Amino acid sequence: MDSLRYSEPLEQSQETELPPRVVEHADVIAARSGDRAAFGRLYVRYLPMVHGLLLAHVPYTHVDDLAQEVFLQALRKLDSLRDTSAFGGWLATIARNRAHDFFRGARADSELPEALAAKTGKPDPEALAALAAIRRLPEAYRETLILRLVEGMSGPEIAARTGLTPGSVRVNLHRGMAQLREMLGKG
Amino acid sequence: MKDMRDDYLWDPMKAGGSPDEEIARLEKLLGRFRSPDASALPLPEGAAVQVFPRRASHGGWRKPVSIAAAAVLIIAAGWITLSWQGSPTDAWRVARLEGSPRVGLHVIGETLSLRPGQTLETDSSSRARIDVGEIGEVEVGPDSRVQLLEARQKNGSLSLEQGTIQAVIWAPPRCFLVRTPSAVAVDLGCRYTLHVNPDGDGWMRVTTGWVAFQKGGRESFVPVGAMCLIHHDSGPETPFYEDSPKEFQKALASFDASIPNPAKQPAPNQSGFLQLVLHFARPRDAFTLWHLLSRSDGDDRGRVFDRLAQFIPPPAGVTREGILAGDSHMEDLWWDALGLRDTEWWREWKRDFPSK
Repeated sequence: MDSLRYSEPLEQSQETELPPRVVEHADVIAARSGDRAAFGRLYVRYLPMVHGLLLAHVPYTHVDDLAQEVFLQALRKLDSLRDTSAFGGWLATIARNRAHDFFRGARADSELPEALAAKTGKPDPEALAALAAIRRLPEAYRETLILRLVEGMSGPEIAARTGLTPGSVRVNLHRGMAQLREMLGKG
Repeated sequence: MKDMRDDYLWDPMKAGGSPDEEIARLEKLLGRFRSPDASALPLPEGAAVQVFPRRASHGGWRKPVSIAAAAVLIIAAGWITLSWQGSPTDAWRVARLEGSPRVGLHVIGETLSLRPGQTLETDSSSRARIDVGEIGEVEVGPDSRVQLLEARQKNGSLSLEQGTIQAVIWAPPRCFLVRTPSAVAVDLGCRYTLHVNPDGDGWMRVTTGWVAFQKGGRESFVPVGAMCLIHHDSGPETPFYEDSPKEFQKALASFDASIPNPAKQPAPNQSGFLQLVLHFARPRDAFTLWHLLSRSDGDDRGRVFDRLAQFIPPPAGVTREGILAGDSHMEDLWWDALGLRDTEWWREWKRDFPSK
């Protein structure tokens, strides 16, 4: 009886403890083995990160489309993900690569989001100017600040999703914010 | 001043005082670029493209997409769509009861939708109520963090990371689960309070019906009037009635703390604590002693058998030898004799629930 008490299958034990990171890890493993609902949960959880990383690089008018493509690409490549605990960092790399591919294929019109914005009648000039200022920051600062200020993620959440260390995220946030304040004339 | 700014930038939920005005202004200004709420996207049948809704193309920047590549995308998107149709995409409504509860960074005005993956957080002066689909409601107390894991109309699960919830569930067994860092509470149709400390320890108190608590192979069944402590390392401890003698409760806590786990040797006083438990037990505490059958070994299990047999004679088919050998069928038969509910009912929660 004692062995029954303490030597139940590990899978069961892990499944029942389930802190959020374990839940997420389980979803990655399940999604890789074809669990469609698990992939759906990953999509819900990671869309803000993918959206924010893309927004750090490409015109905002293209971000929703590209985010869709990133997830479809991830879905097709899930078999190649060796370290299932590193899903966030792996997905972030796909998003960055997709953003870089965007510029290789479409540099000509990539600098004109404002013209497009005028047609769609969306963000005001001040919002676009703030976004443009962030995008002039170094890449690491730019991505982290957009995840924080645009997507509304906290520092700990950014670290958990992207796979960066909390220390790196904190440095990126504070240095990026300091530079942004200077650029906006409010340092 | 700089520290306050830094705190708000790092984690607005944890920052004390008022938010940094410049950062808050930027958040509001830039929030219009935020991603759509993925869990709220429309998911009509067969409309694969609406799983990840596309806007109309804004220009000729894209490379031409071959028919084959398009087919791959459509198939993949369709595959995802099928998954969503059966996935927990519903939201549960959360209402503010007091103070300023939040979902993410959004302060709840009156009500808000709570979606899978989102976390409801209350501070020391806030409370909120979650409508658990059609099957019940959960009141979230102050200083609590609750993440919604799955939400359907007739079942779902939460993760109580810290704080206190009071759940009232009127669904069949196993429809509602609450995961904690220490164990999983499986509702068996009841009303109960569950509390988790920041270190992962906690307790559960049942005021109507039953709750099953489990971690790995360790289970506790907690009836009305009883409570169960949970430990971040070992999971659910042995349940007991709240009106049991204090000496009994203290001895039981000491016994639970001395139960070996795979990484530790048995504590030397384990048998001593057990004998105290048996000494102070009343007939009404037979249900606690029944749990101790599976938490003891050898001579200790024999002592539990003898004491339990004084309160509830073993029914036909139950022998001392069988219990000492760990015969689970005999344990079930003895449980049925306790006059609570029979094992056919309370083991129901282990079966697959039809709607899952």
